[in-house]
Amino acid sequence: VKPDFVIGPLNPSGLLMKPNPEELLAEVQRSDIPVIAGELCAGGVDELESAAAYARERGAHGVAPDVAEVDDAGAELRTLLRATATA
Amino acid sequence: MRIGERAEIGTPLRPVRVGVVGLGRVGIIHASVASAMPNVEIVGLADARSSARREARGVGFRAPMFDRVSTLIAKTSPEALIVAVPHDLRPRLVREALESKVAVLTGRPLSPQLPEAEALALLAQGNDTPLACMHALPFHPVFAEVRSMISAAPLGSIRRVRASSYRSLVFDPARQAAFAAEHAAGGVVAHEAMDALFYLIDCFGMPREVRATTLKLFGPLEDESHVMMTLPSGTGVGSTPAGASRLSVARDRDRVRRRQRPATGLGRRRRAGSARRARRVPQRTRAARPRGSATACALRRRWRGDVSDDGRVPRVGRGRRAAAPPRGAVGARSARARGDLHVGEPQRRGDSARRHAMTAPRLLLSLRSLSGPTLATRDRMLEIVARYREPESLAVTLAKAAAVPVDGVLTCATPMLRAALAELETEVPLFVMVPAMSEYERQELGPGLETAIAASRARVRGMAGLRVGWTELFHPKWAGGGDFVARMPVLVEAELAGLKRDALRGVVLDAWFTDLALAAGHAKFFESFARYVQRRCRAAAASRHATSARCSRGCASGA
Repeated sequence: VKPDFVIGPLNPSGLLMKPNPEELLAEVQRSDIPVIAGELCAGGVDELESAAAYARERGAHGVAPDVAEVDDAGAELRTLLRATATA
Repeated sequence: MRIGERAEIGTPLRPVRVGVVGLGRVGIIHASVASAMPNVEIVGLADARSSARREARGVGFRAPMFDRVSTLIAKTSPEALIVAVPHDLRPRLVREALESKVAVLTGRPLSPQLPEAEALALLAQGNDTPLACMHALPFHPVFAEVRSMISAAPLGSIRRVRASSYRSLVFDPARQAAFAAEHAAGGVVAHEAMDALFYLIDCFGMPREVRATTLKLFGPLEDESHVMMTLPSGTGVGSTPAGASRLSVARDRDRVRRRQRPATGLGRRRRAGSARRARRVPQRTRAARPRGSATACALRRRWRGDVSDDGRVPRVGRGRRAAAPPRGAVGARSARARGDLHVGEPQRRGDSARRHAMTAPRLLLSLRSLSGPTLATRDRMLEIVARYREPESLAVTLAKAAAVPVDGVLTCATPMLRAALAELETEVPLFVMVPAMSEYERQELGPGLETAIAASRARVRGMAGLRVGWTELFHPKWAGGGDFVARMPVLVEAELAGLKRDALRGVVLDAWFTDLALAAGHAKFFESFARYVQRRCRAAAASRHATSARCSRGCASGA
């Protein structure tokens, strides 16, 4: 019995990625528990699309953009969905 | 470390035996952080309150617990003590540790009385025992960066400094009374302003003159402070009113601004059309809020036909039938359906309707910003608050997200969410965070579950309370009070009360409790939480954490 997934910060800026981004990314690659990337835009520093791509490329199973990170939920989420499909 | 000296944060060079005195929120946080550090062994915990010791044991800490510091020192021989107790108890306990030649790390101020603080410093010096007070602000990454920028002096000499805080915890006499217990050493100067003053002196040096005034707005203690320091160079350093979450430094050639939230100081990406959207969602007052079909008409005008004539937000809008919510492993268009990685329990016969709940989502829309401050800038947060002031606005966004379709919406079970869901005809898949609390509430939450359970139960209305009561019957407080494993089912059921279980895709444990249980190495808790959610709620069990690597590794090892 184990959690189905965990949610944690994962963004190109490395914000809140503790103990450090390198160790976190290595752990994401190794983990058998899917990691959903949050804090994608690092508070607005990073672009949502590129941040989501960054997270997926580094082993994140999924992404969880915050409502404050999207202006047009329908359009931007659809773009992310398309990117997820092609990934 | 003295003012002006810098210390590297790192791992002790050799194993250190550490004890923690005081098991309130701060003490538990220190115990959690210390237990996660290499070369640090928590050898004992102490608190005079039996309830605090029970809660710490419930979190999962297995170190011996004592009701007296002297007993802790005698029986566990710690090399260092972290003293996290209220102001009035601090000097006595620090002295006790120093007299036993045990190094001490304690909160600030060391003592409310200057002579007493000086006496403790002399005692530490005489015994050749390290004594340190904690000031977190200088180690905050943003403030540390600002300090290094100031030290490097790339912008010229300083002309003026202003520091202020927006973190307000006291709004009325009752709140001040709650924060300022009978033993309180002082108001804002002894609390919020302390770190700010240390930081300012650390950055700019000891002033030659200080002028200060305080305001007592809500009780006998000061609620605001206004401090003006004059540096030897004549530069004015002002701190108003209660801290330094915002620092403004005027220099000869430029101006540097930093806020406490890390990203805010780094700028926000430009958003094309944000001004247009801001006009489209004007601020409204709750008093003027229309309801029913009138609401729908207003929304229809604003969102160009996304609302149906009967006043309910349709699945897709514009008269089209909604895309069905994602169902099953072959859930046609859902993000999850692409490149599946299914985890959790294997599918059982007759359980297909719930099968989707056990898969990890690919795309979630998080509503965390609606529960208080996040990393977003203050301006952005104000914009979000204005946009989602009414449930109908949230309902439209949920409908859009469901139409994409996302795998789910990551949210707390707040009244706002329930109201928004009531506006919708379509089913919105939910990943519910437990417990539901704002960022402010999280900052005040203690280590135990009982406070969160009480708050959740208070929100339960009507028949939904029956299920919670039934759960509590088998997980009573008297039998498992303070124990995470025993009481978590009650919290989960209280949080989910009133929500449609068909829409439930997952239950996500809040970062606060995840952190605590991970730090304490409470493997059984993660196992029992996952088992309960997966088998009783038939949903995915997940946890949220600020440090993904640790969480992932911890949960895996916990399992």
